[in-house]
Amino acid sequence: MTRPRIPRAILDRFIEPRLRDAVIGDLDELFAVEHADGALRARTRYWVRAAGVLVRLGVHLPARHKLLEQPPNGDGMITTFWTDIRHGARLFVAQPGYAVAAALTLALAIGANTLIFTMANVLVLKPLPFDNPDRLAWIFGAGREETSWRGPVSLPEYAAFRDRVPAIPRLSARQRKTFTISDGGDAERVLAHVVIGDLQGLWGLQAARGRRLESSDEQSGAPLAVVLSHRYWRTKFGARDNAVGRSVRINGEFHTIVGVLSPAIERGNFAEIDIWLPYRGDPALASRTDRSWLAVGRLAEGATLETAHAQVVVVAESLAKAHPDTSLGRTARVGSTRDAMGSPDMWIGFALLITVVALLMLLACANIMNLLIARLITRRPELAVRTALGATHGRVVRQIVVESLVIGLVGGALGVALARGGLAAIHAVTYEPFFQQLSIDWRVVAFAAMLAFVAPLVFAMAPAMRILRSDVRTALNEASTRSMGSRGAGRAQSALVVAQVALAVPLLVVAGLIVQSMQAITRVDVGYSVAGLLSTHLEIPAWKVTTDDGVDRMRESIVQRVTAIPGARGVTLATNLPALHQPLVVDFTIGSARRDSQTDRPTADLVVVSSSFFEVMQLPIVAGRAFTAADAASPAPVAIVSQEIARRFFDDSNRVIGSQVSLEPGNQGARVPATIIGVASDVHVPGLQGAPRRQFYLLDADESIRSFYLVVRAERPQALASDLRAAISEVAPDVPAYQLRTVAEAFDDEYSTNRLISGLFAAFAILAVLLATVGLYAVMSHAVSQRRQEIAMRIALGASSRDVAASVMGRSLRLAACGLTLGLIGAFALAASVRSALYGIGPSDPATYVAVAALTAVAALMASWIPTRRAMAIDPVLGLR
Amino acid sequence: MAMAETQVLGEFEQLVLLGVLHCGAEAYGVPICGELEIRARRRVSLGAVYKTLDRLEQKHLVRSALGPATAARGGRRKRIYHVTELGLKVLRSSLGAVARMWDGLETVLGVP
Repeated sequence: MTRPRIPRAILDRFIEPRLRDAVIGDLDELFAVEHADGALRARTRYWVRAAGVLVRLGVHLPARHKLLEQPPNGDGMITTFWTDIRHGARLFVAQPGYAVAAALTLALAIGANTLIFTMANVLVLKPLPFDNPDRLAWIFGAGREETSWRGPVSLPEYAAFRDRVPAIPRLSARQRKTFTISDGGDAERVLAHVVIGDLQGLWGLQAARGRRLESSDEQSGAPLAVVLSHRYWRTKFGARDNAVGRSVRINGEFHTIVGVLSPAIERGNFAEIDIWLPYRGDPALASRTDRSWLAVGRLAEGATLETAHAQVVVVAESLAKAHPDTSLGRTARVGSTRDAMGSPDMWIGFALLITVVALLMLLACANIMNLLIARLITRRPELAVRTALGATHGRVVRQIVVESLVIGLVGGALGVALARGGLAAIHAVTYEPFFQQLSIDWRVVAFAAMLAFVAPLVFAMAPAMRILRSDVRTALNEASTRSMGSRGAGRAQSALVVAQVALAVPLLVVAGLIVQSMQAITRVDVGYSVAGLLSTHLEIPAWKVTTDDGVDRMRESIVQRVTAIPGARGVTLATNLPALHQPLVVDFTIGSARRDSQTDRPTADLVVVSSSFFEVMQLPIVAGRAFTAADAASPAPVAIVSQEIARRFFDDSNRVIGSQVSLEPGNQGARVPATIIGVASDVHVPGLQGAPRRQFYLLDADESIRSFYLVVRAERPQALASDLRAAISEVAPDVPAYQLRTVAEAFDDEYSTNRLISGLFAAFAILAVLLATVGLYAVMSHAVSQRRQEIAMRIALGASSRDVAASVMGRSLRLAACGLTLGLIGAFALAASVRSALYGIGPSDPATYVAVAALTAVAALMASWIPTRRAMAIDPVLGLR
Repeated sequence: MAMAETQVLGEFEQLVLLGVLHCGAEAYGVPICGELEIRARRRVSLGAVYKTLDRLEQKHLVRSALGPATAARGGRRKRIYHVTELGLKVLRSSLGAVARMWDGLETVLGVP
């Protein structure tokens, strides 16, 4: 039998101590007796009796609210401080309206700021664990038409920089590459960093087990070594110590695991790396056109990034002159670690986010300041009485400040909880490792705590001081709180509202521009049908299948087997999917002109595909024809070009068909020119401004590719995933299906960051509108109640409802208009500074500004709706009393 | 006839005092309520009784002390009340006044 807990708890709290045991004991006694006759009845009677007792004996509060108490001499700061805190806490019970509104407003602003701080935490405060990152110099290569600003270099270029740049005496490089690990029966594709020049040593990475890679591992005769990432070691080797020293088969060759890397490096893209391998061989002899290496080195003592840059440029130019067939027009630059960690666009975007949430914080503080002013005006006579009775100004101010700190505490705690929720949402929505690693650690909590402490000081100090400075006597002489004596405070409130609108408008404009940019990026029609496609990346192992014929046969058998899967409507393969993956960039010449190394040759993207490509991808052919089986059988190479090439390089589109074109992916030497047999519709890459890409399509039968994407069209592609994996391992057990997912998903992942950023801006914009509208409402509402007498008098003197409404609304609109004007100026300036981050829209896009102005007007009208109606409903008789 | 200088008792206060007397050594909330219900046939609330007892104690007509706890009471102690000398005096005076007012009205009220 359980006695009812709640009434007992209430009685326990509120009955005076003397009678507590007696009363509750009696209730329990009666309950014990009555319980036998019926539990429910006994409980009900318990509740009733308890209520009766409470009503009769009255509630006994532990410590009376000592409003008028003069602290006795020697009263410590601590005791009064605690009284203030209790008073502040009780505020939530006594005046929930103000306290809850203030705490909630603060919670929203602190939540937003904390969320963005988690990003700052990772980007700025918890950088990658490099030794002395300020002394690292990162070398980026750039070609004539490359848009990437963090371009990789080739190994011979690396070797040249390594040997000929005195400002960077130590240079290393890394390459991201997939390998196949076969352990017994199962083959698995892993992502590796291949390093050269002792990169791990350069960065100062630590090993958690065993050792890290060293220069000796890169010697040609040395035993094959591999270092595991911490994560890979945990997941695949169960974090067992005996993993070090074991042997694994990587691309057919046995490597010894010499160590496990510490997890400190697993941030951002580095978190995806499974293993680290040393590069063996002389880099100067490697391919000049395989540019997939990212070079980084240490500056010499006393050298600067600028000097290094100058020297690197000289070397790059000499390389371009010495190897015109592969490196014509190429240059290089040196960047800092910050450049390497994020593009300028990214830093701009980030700075923008910080600005936005800072504005939100100011908005919130302005709101709470207004609420506080309103509350203090109402309490003026009481405060005046207190001062008259001896409470010092300082004491009262302190009490107000402590109250505000309590609100800050509650707001801060709620804010952290909100930020947590926001992080959970972000984790669910994005794919990028960077966002997955955002978390709330002690630094983030400390930041929130700092905001929770500083914000109340900001919004409490000024109003408290002002109100208290007013004359005690005039305050006492005021007949009621609804007088015009609070004019000064009213002006302050108006100014605050104007400030709020002025803060919200730039926020809205920028958010609107960013959201529209993001939409423009994702709205781009790629050019082929993205839905209904399943893809996976396959690589036919070089150590297993050594001849071109063997590779062709294996490819064939895979395609045949996959075609037989029930539900597969079409199967094709391609070296990369246009607009989704990095293409191979080639130089080309129209006609069978000889290679002329002096001319500036145009570049284009190359995709090698199977003959079913255009049909399966639903990429239309606009002239000529697609590849057929006959083309595959014939030894003469054929090609299909994109419309853009036809437009730019041919006068009459009919002449395109039948022309010859030579492609130079570089390391193939002289090639038999291919005959153009068709023109395909253009492909557009989302996010890249300018003309559509120039594409060449070659047939796989002519090119014998080992590494390609297998694409299957199906009604419901996701359902075929396991069948596809099984089919491939059936005919090619050493070829694991890598990155098996629908193409739609791949695109989504690619642009998930865009969506997230635009989502964040949109959310903050909505928050700003909410805060500003509520702020305006609160001020108008307060103004109406303060000016009741005045309004009542006007009505009594003959003003109609419409006049009153016009006056109130008019005031509200005037305030909003003031704020709007100031805000628009600020918006202009802010938008202009982020011009480069925008896509498809200009910083002075008139539609956006007009929309924001209209939104402001509507919000102002909505905010003043209720106060206006209240004003119109004022009874002149009552109001004048 | 000397005018009584003692306090005046309200009707409920009288009943409660009488209830305390009836309960003897076990005069606490529950039995006192029980006495009132059975004898005076009055449904009284625990709160009202305690309020009255409190008032009586402030007037020094009863005194109280903590008594034993029992399991049925969840280990909470009872507060046992006793009527003081003053209380008895006031009660006698009060009841005496009522009796004297009654005198001669038996047949009208039809009370044995």
